[in-house]
Amino acid sequence: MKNSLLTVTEASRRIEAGAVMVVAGAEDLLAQLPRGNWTGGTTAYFMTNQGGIVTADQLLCCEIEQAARSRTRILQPHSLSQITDDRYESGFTYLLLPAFSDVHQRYALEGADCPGLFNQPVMGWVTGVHLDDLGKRTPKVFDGQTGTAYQDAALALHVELAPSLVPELDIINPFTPGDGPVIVFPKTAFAARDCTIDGRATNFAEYLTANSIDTRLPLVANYAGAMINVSVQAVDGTSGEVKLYAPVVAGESYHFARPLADYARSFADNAASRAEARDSLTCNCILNFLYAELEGKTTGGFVGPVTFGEIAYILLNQTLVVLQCHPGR
Amino acid sequence: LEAQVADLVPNQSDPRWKEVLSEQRNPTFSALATRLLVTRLRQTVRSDPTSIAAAVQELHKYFTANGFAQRDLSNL
Repeated sequence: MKNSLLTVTEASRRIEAGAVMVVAGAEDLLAQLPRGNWTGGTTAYFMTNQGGIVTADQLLCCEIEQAARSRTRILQPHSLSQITDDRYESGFTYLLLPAFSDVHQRYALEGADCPGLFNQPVMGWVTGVHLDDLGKRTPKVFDGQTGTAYQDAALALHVELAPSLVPELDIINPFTPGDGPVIVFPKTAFAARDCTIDGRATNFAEYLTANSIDTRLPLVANYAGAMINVSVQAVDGTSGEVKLYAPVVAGESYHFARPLADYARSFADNAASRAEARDSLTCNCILNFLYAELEGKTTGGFVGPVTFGEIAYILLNQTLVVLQCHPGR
Repeated sequence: LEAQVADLVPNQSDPRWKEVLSEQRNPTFSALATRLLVTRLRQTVRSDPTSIAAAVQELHKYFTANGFAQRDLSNL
């Protein structure tokens, strides 16, 4: 894998040379790229070797040098379950979803039920916009084969690897469940009103307000050893509804995350403990970028887009996703 | 390799499958895919206990098909 911050001209040269790439950047720049073996997604935020940056002038190009072949598939909301249909015998899938779209919501709610989803890595991210452009521009995905941009469809880049290479997908999450009460929701949804707090029926918004909960900390659930976050988007004290950046799952046990003494440092230390940063595909969350104030700070050498949601098989929040290819045994 | 892995996978009638999916048994899994699939199946079984046979079948199929999950299989 080769991750580089490039100009449109430099990125175009690589595409014309046949590189298989995932390209992240501003919509205006992505629209200028030539047709080729790439998929793209909009964002203004990036992790680079020099630290986190915000730019509309360059593109982050993640070149998959190990790719033997690739093909893209456009997935409409009703056809998301076909995500695994066209993948190769050996390889992985890179998935891009436009934020705030129906396909984003549906993948979050139904993605884990796609047939055979867990048999091969599915990594990716939710495309975004500069926060100043929220409500003015829509997040997009780009099909490099045709140059077409979509705001309501997912793009899957299926990558074939030589059988001697084994792709491995993992997550780095600086958060662990805190010592607070167990929170359980009755419905799987992107918004929550009702919940139980240590078994007592409570309005979730009232609980957050009454207990001055720091909503920069995510809800964390233990998924058989994997810590899975759900981040709070907004608390509406009037309606009693709490909006979330990913769905909470009915019946799952959540805790608010243990506070980090130094958010930025904890995150960087956690990432720095991994030696494999260079040769990997990664993405990190806009909330980590904002709350950990990562602009100008490095995250253990991981280079990739900063996104409105991360995908490691399922939709994640406030998590760094890493995909690597190892020689098989 | 797939045939070799399949030989190692316990029969679907092995009680460990149901114990894992009903959370009576909590083995240490290392592959993210295994962790997420086991949790998804546990969530399904929790909301509909009659789905446990289908869940066992799906988990069995996953371990049979995926050599990368062999280490998790040995921890079952």
